[in-house]
Amino acid sequence: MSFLGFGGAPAQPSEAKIAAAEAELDLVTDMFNRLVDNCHQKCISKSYNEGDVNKNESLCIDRCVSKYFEVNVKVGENMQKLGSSGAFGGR
Amino acid sequence: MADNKDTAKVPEVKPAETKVAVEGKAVEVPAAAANGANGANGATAATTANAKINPPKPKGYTNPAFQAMGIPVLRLPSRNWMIFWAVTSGLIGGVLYDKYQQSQIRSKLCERVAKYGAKPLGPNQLSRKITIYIAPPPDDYLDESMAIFRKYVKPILNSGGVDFQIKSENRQGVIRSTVAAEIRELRRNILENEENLIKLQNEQKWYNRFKSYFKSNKPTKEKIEALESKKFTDDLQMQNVLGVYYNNIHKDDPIKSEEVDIKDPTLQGGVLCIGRGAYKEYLHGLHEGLLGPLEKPLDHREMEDFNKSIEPPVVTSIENVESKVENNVETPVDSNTSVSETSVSENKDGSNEQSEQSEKSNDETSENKENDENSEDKPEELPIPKPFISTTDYPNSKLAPELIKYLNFNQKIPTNSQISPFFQQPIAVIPVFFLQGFLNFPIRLYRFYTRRYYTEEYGKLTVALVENQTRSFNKETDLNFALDEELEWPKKWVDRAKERQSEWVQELTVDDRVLNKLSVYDEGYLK
Repeated sequence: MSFLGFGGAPAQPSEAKIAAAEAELDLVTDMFNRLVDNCHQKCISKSYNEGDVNKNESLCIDRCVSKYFEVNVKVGENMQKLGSSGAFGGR
Repeated sequence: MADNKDTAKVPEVKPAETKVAVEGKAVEVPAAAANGANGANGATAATTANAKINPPKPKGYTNPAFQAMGIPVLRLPSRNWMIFWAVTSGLIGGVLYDKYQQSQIRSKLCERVAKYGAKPLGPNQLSRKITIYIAPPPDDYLDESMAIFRKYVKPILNSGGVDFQIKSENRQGVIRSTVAAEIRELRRNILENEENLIKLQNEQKWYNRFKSYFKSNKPTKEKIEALESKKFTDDLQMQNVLGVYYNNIHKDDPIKSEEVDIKDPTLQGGVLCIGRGAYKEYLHGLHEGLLGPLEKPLDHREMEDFNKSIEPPVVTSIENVESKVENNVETPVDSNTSVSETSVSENKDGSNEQSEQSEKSNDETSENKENDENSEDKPEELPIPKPFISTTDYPNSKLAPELIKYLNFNQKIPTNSQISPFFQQPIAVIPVFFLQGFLNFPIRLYRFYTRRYYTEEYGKLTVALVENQTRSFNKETDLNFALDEELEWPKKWVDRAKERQSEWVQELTVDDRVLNKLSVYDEGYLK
């Protein structure tokens, strides 16, 4: 509904939206995979004596996951701060 | 200084002696040409003089094979070196031995509880969780107490598969107030639930149902649409579409603790207090929560403020203006009387001075000044709420009426997690021995070299905690848990604390009604 080019900002094309959503999904999936990898390596004993997860392992996983998320959020916040203050060489 | 002197002396002495020896030789040499016996005497004199300089080396051990290989003569080091090595190796060896013993004890206890940690745990289950209250030692940081927890307690908890939740404080009173607040929250929830229950029961009655049927409006089109859209979005939740949740048979299982099925409320969870202060505060918190009122009582000052607000404000302002005038003219002491009526009796002096200053510095209306007075007493940090009930009122108050029917029959108190609340859980206490001062150095040294005893003592208590070995609270002995620690609190700190009426230095006041419901962990069976 632009009149002589003075209309509101043109709506974002849906392709860009989809690309953004894809990027985000990639990000989330990547983080999830890393988390599973790290916590598996840290917590699950390699001898695989039992099919079930035992108490120690499950406690370890609980803590590992919560710490991972916490650190992830903190790092993300800091990066955002750095990005907005232009500390990345103006990028 | 002394060392420098000694080292300075040595070179002075040595050349003098050698000089004498050389001169002696020089003198004796012509005589030796004349008389052989004399010459021999002169030689012995020279060797004794030499012996004074370098005492003859002890014989040591060697053999031709060693000599052929170039290994020097093996002999014991000198006396001083022996002393040095003995002391050094003794000190280091003591530390190493202690550490080794500690690790042995720790691994023994960890192995003992490892079988509990190796039990399988379903994906929808939570393991047992204990609450740990940690207070810093007087005049020091929380790290000191945390170190004790990390060193003696945590390894055993971890291998025993017990989850824990740490509640620490940096100021006195935090533990007490949180404990009390949690109990009050629970009491309030129970009250609410009971009200809801009664409401529901009323609705169940047939005439009410009849009434509500006619009252309730039929589902409109909008409502149905909203419900449908909600269902649609719920179906597209991430856990229903992708990831580990998708097709997971445990997806809809409620997550609950493994201890839900335990009937006895005193065998669930657990409470560990680290430090005498934490224990004291925990007990006081229990009393405050169980015996105190649900709502914060108006304290002295607030009551008076309240009364004042009822009075016509004009009168007070006039009074204040008068007092201000008086104050400015000559007699500050008299003028205080009008102000001190509003101030609390506890910290009379401080608030009086402050109000005096505020009076002098700025002209304010009476309302403003009252606000000022209230805000001035508060420190920059959020103040710790005062106990809702004073220790002297314990015997006069009722045990929480909401909980009494559960407590009397040792029933589980209904909570969201279906685990008994922490005040029904057994208690363990670990002292924080933290001596300071130069004169206490020998004791500290002794403790440093015998930490294995602590490792064993605290470790066994933790094992009892993991294995859930409890007994009921014994009023005579169990109030004195970690009491020795109080003797070691720095005197200056205690004096200061008494001046400020801190919580830690006040006597532990208890009530039998509360103590009867408590239980403690007992490591006696491990001996």
